[in-house]
Amino acid sequence: MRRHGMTTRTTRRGVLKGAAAASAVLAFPAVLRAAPSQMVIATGGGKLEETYQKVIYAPWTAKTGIKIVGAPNTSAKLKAMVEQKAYEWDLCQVAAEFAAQAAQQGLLEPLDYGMIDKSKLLGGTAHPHFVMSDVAAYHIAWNTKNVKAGAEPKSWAEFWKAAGRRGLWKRPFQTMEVALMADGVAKDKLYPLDVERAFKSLDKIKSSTLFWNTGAQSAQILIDGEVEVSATWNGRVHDPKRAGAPVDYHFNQALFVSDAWAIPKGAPNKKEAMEFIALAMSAQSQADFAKHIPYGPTNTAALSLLDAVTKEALPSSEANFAKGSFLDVTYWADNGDRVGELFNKWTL
Amino acid sequence: MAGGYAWLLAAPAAFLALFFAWPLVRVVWRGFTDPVLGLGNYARVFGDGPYLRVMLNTIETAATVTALCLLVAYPVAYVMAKTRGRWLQIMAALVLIPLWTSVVIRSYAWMVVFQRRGVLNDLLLATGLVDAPVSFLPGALGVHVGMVHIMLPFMVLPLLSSMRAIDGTLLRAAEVLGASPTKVFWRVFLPLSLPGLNAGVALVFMTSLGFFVTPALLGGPQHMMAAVLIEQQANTYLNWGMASALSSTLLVVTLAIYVVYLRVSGGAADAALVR
Repeated sequence: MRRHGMTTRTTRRGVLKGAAAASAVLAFPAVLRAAPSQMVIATGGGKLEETYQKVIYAPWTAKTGIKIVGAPNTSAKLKAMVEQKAYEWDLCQVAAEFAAQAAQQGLLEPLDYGMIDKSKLLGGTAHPHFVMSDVAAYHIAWNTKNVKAGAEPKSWAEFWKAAGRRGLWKRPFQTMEVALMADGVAKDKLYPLDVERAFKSLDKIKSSTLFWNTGAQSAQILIDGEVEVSATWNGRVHDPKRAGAPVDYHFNQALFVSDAWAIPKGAPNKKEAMEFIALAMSAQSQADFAKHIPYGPTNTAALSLLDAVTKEALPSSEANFAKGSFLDVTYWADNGDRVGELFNKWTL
Repeated sequence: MAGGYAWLLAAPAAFLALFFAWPLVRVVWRGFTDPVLGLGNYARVFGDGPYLRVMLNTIETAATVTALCLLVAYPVAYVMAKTRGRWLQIMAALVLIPLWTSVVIRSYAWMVVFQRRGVLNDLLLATGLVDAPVSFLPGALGVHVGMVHIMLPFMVLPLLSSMRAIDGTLLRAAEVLGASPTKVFWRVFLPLSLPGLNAGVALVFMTSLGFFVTPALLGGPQHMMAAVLIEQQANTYLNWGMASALSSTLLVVTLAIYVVYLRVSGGAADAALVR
């Protein structure tokens, strides 16, 4: 509650006024404050968190003695935390387009790129308030039993014309972009989105499209043959394909999306959080992560630590990265609510 | 109520005031003040965006689900009310067991039943009723069946408790006085079961208005419910003013419908008993 926050501030001011002798100490809290014994990091959980535990949390704890506690990265919670100055997280990993939105509302701490090395990062991944940590792809996938080899859609235009039913995400981000590519917009000329043109393109397939809600659902409808072709994220079909499920995919005209590390504005252990992000963004950490989950590194130096087979599955390996384009998170931070409203209206 | 024991309510009342009423006041307040003081959020809600349409969708879906629940639950409760002993226990268990499974899992289970290569289509194809799989998903059928399945216990239980409280001698008296079984049901049993029916209808309707997972998974984009819009505003766009305005609108609509329903059903109950 805001009132509670104000009380805290007043108290702190009172302390500063009353204890003049202590003011010298309080001026350098970062120097004198003991390092925390644990930090809370909010992520998407599941396999992602398990992997971080293995490849980043464990080395971090070994190095600093600071334990890591996981938490779900519920987006509304970030806002509530910062508004009420009651911090439960020291840092978080969220979808980059959400980070951009949160940064715009002043909910994130500026990152210290003196501590986090951005010299090797992919262009556009280091933002003042968040840094993108991986590259996933929203791409074309198909059921190999129902779509004959060679007949799979090579582009979004072909995806739009594919026989049978197709699947797309029930959200405007990414779906609007592929609708424009289907209508012939070049992958590097997507922004600012021509919203009307995207809806006209979507109109053509509305009746033969199943709009799915979650990534798990997109993989399930593909594998079960509920749809012939679907857009999905590479992390959702990579493992099933390897396990022999009737699903395949490619990166042509893929739209690259990211998760990002960020620190809630005013969070107490800022210095340690920056150090953690610096470690997480290192080539070694990112390479180790990519060996477990097929989300490619944003640190290009990580690629040289990976073998050819692993790189084949990663959206940000040289060969795959050239086939697609990045989602413009700033566009969505500026226009998400407005375009989202139009999208909801279009779906009804 | 006996005045001497009113103090017993002090603790729950304080709890509700602190953890329910006060947050609610803040939500309503926020709808008028975030991002700026004024009616901006409400102008959007009642403007030509998707919001009113989704509100209507929500009310329509909740009303359909409530009606279907009542149709299914009334005979079930009726039979249960007439049953004693082991069979009653078995029936009660069958009604209650679904409550122990999460709504998400049950919604996914319905997806398995309804999908193109699902159980239902296999059955239809095997019996030759259809030549090609029918596309049930996403669709209204899935949404309604899924929601009715989840809400059914909330209709059966109040109906059952109301029916079991009905004094059997009243029914026999009606019979003795020459009423046919149909007449006994319509003129005596049904009116006496109305308290349970009203409670069940209110419970199912109100809960259905806030449904999120089932319509999101089983319904198409055109089946969007108010809760989905509110979640989008709160979580995706961090537009809490708009989320508050939408929540407050849904709350007022719900209360208004409830008041009207109480008037109508109360009137109907009185009329049925007086006739």
